Amino acid sequence: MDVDGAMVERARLGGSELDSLIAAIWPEAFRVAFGILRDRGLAEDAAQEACATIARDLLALKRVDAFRAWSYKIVVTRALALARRQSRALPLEAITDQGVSFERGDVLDLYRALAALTPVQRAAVLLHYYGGLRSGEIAEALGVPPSTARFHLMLARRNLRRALAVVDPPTTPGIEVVSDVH
Amino acid sequence: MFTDARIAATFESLLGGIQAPPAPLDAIRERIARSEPSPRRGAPLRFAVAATAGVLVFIVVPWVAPGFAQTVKSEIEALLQWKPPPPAPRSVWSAMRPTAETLATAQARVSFTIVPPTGLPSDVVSEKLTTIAAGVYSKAVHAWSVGARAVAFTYRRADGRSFMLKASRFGAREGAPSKYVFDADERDARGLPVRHDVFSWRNGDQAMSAVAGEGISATEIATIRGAMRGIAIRGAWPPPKSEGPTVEYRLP
Repeated sequence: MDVDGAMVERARLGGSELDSLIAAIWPEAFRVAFGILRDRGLAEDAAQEACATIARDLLALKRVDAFRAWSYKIVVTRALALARRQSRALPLEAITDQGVSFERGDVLDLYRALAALTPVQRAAVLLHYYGGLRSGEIAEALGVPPSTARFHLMLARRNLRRALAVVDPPTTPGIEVVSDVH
Repeated sequence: MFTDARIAATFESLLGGIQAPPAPLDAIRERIARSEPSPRRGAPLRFAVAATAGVLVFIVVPWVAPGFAQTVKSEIEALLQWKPPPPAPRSVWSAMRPTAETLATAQARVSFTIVPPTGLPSDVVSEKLTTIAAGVYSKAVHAWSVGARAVAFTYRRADGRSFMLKASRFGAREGAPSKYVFDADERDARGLPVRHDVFSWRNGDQAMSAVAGEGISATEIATIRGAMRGIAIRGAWPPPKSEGPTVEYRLP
């Protein structure tokens, strides 16, 4: 998120400064929500709800330097809440309709590999690899103890590695674990 | 093989390739309005209306939904036979939200010298320090604007009650502090909002006000004013009962 502490401080005053902050965090909020939900409509719903919560609760944020982790937590919470209510799974053919660009094969492989993860595991790896959050922050964002967050992350990384291994030439015989995820 | 670094880079490519729609600010504002928290007990909604030369100053503490405030205002209108201004635009309401401060940042935001409260009851702990802007309606040009900021010192007592001391600029242009406030959560036997007396005093160019009745009594407010050597501006101050080493005050 391209947001600094001064911008957050100014946004606390409301008005156009708050609008500017929401406009700045919106694309990232949408992408993270989409990464978890894999549906543009649901992602937009979750990101809107998250942005409204961020705007409403901004005054309660004690340290502006914690804004990034705090806002990720809100986005992830909203996305997971929607994921629990929805059981929609998109077929692979529908990916092109979701506004996702795959210029490289490895990106498509990652997208397919993520489909095999649970929403919580997807949230964990998104926050780890994309958000750059530490395990303690991931635990807070997921609302679980740190040990549980580490467990989700470990499972997710193991599943990802298994799924992604097929894009490289096999270095050992018998790498057919891809069947585990499809 | 995919290393951690490669997975991270691929995540960047994947999510960076997702085209986000334009930020739907109107829809988000609607959600904010819908999800506005209701005022809680212990942090009551209060109105202070002060009429000065050509303007009405309308202060709401804490930040509440405009729709809710307008509903309560109609009851106050009936009580005071007061014609209210039209609803304030959203931009004014947004700017009226309290902002958490330190004493130094609060001082930078206001145009008067802050004199912090002293002589507080012994069971009091400081809870927060905020600045709050007033919404100002001009009867001359029929328009709302955001007025000067006031400083709110919020304290909590050992029994859980809280109270606030509000410091604002004292001067002829600002007019006299409000005489009463109305508590939206509190109704009398006729169902009307209950009126509370406001006690005000000044130190230099600062006017400080406190509302008797919730979290702090008129006697305790008088003790604070005495410790601050403040000059009484408004309020039915309880007179000192004795001049001995322990000053006592009679409840009004």
